[in-house]
Amino acid sequence: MGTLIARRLLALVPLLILVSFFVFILITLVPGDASVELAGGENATPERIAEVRQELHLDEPVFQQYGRWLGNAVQGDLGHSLYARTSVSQDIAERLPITLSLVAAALLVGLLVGVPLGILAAMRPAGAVDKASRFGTTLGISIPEYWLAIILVVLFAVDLRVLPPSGYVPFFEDPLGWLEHIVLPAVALGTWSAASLSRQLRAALIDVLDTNYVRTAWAKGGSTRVIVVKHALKNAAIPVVTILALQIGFLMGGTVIIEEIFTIPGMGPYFLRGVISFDVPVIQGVVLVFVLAALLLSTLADITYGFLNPKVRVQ
Amino acid sequence: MSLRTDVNELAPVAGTEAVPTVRQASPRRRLVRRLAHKRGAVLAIAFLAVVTIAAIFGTAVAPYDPNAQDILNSNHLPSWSHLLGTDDLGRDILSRLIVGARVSVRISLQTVLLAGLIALPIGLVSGYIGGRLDNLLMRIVDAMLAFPPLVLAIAVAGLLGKGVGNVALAITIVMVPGFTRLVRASTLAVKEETFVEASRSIGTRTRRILSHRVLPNVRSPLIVGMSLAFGAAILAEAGLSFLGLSQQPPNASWGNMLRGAYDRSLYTHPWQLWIPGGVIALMVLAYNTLGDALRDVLSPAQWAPTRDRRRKPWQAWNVLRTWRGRRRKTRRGLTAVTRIEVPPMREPAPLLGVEHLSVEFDTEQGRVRVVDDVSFHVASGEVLGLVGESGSGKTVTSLSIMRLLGSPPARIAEGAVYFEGRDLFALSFDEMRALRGSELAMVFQDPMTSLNPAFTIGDQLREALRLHEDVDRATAQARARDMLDLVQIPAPEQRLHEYPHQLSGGMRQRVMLAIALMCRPKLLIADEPTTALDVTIQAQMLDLLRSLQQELSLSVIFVTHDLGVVADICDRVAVMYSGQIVEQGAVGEVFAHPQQPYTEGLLAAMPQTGQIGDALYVIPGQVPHPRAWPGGCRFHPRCAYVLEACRSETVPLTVGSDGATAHTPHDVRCLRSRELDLRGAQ
Repeated sequence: MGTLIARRLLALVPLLILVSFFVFILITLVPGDASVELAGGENATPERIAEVRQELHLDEPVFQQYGRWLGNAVQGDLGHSLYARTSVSQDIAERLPITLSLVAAALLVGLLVGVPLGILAAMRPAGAVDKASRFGTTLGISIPEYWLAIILVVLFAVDLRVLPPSGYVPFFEDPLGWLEHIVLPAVALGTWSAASLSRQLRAALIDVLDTNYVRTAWAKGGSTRVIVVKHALKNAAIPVVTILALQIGFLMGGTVIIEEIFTIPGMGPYFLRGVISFDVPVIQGVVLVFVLAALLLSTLADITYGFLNPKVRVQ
Repeated sequence: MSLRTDVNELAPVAGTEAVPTVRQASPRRRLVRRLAHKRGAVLAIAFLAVVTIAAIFGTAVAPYDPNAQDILNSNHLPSWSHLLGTDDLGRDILSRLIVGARVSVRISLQTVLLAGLIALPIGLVSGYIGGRLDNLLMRIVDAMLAFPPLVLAIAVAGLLGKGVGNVALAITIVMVPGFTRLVRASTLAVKEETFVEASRSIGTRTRRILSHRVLPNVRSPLIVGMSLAFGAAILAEAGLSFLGLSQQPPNASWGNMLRGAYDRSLYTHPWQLWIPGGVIALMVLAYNTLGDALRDVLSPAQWAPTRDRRRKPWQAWNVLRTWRGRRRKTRRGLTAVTRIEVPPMREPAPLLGVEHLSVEFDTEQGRVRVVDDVSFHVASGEVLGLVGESGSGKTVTSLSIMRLLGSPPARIAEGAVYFEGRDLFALSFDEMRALRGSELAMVFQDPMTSLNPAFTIGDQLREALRLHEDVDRATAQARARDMLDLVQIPAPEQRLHEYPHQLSGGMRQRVMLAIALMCRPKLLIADEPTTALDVTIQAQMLDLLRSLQQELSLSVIFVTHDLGVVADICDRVAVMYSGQIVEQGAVGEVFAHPQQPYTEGLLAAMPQTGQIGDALYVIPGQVPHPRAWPGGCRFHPRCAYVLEACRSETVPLTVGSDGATAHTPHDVRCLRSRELDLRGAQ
């Protein structure tokens, strides 16, 4: 198991180099002379243009720029915001935990709803539960999370007034307040996750429940619980974990809009302000951190995969 | 054969000439027809068509100028003059929705088609040529796929500058790597196929192989992938519009309409939020439904019985559903029973008595009887051989005793199985469960797939015991070790900690046997336990089975197609053909004086030592498919002694027939058993 983890982490290194390069060259997407655009476009003063060019070292060849940027990034320095002049690393450090807690809460919603639903649907394909869940999950993967968020706000915050429409309270200051504020965003974001998870799990379980080894387990006198929870679920989880890793990336993207709607001070609004004002260091920093987080979490999923599948583990 | 046995697996497809086949249409037309059978897909296509037409004609079909403000008429609820009402600036919502459709439709088509076009050649070349190029391309694809898609789209669209065109470009860039992966994977899969290898070996040029052999097989997955991506593209564009990066106000897109309603009407006119959001959701729903339907239609799993809604009223399911006025209860892990009469138990009661058992499968083509009026018994300590060719119904019979066939599609239509006087078909799931593994145990055909790959051997052995007996882990472990010793597995202590994939086929079958014997069952059903093993291992396995049978005085039903094995270890034999028992009796009697031509054929087809040089006898023809059982005697098309009566008359099983030679009475199903003097074996 230890060697498996080491191998997976080692495999990350070349990927990280490539990914970071992609993040860096995002700047080349800026049309025309980047330094003019970043300095404010048509209203840019020559002094400001020179300042931006100097700060981002835009005169140097791309690879040299990349090397410098990567060297700093590895040391935790992602540069400064072109406008607010604050340290991007520090800004992100303040906001990342908020966003990650939202992702975790959404994933929790996804698992708590999606897993039981997938199991129930797989128990009797084409049965009443299956049909109802098929309908529900089809809706769940089609409804845009931002619309669902707004509907939830209308229902629970505007009409029923039981939950706050927006805002955020840090968990360590007021756990109950945190919960109040995170419920709607987490449900809005997690619904899609629950729907797609339950569909994947249903399909995987139906396949596994048809296998010979499950028949063996029935023949041994296993109860439905033993068959489903022990024999089938562990095997069905193998493809589902892979899906879960993909979902993390989608959920992270979703947080950007959800945080904007609920005015949660996470990475989303920070990222958006950066995008709208062409604040390249902010954009690069946020994207890099998002990719890193997604990569680490999917590596974690990979390792879980090894735990579930002895063929991968025992070499 | 799995729990949910497909009736098509029961016999080789040959011999189905008598089955009316569906009229062959061109593949494309068949595809369209199958799609047309799916209500959801038809609705989705209709909806998409309406939206697309609206998008094409845009302002021409919009009742008002979508940007014309009319402050006096703001926030009007839907009415005849404004079908969907007006927004906070008095603009007609329907008109804005129509021009907004333009953005969504354009984006979805443009991005997906462009991304598909870019990905197709890259994926094809990468997958087909492989090597270093493939390695490099896939590294790049991996790196791009690592980005959270929406984050990348926002960054790219933002840096390129706001606007629909740049958003389209951003979404395309995000989609390309996924499609490339898909094309490459399907290319790799096809590349290994023999027909492509054959093309290659006769020197077909690569370009031609790619376009004529590989491309057609890559097409289906790509089409499905693309149709599912349309919805994703719409969601992404609407999201970016919502964030103010795509279509700029005052021009309408669905996303910025939703944003406008959210910013300005959330507390005052929340109904305005429903319209743009609902349209986005419907559009995505339509694309997803279409994509799912395409996937069903393009993949072989389309025949799964659960998907068909258009069952004719007389077909099996509806009959079952209204059975005795209530819905039949089905559950996983227990074959359903729909018999009306319960046949009585024979006297004196044997350990196991199978009485008039009939098993049916519900298929799309209607119900198919697979086992037909089968009766036999097993006495205590006796070994019964159940023999016949593949497709004769032996496995279904043995699985029915354990009630291990899945319902649907299988169900027990008639008969009873008495085990120690209890009717197994009258038991609840929990009662049946208590017997399985403890009193009745089974060893299956395929040891490679019958053990759970995710658990150790020790775990699976212990479980067999602990499901029935209240013992602690250590005791169970000790018993498991002893049992592995009993089935002659070397180094049992070490094996307990290993996983199935670390064991050979023969070892795994020994483990299966050990699992079956963990609770000292009274009856063991061994379903072709040696078929999947190679010959030397087979002999060892048989020796083991025989010695264990005597040691533990087990009763055994030994399912096999190998008469040599029957002669070796069975006391009595029942010969099955086309779902029926055609002959049964003591092994010596049946072998020496068979009264059924099929049995004679099987005996003649048995390889015997000492007859080197003779061509091996083969029964002409094939086992018919259960859907195509012939009338009269089911063996008559293959029988050398056939008479006119054999083709028309239903042949009953004659109990205790003494045959032509008059000294070996046993059960036979043949009209001519009294006159034919058939050849037996030693």
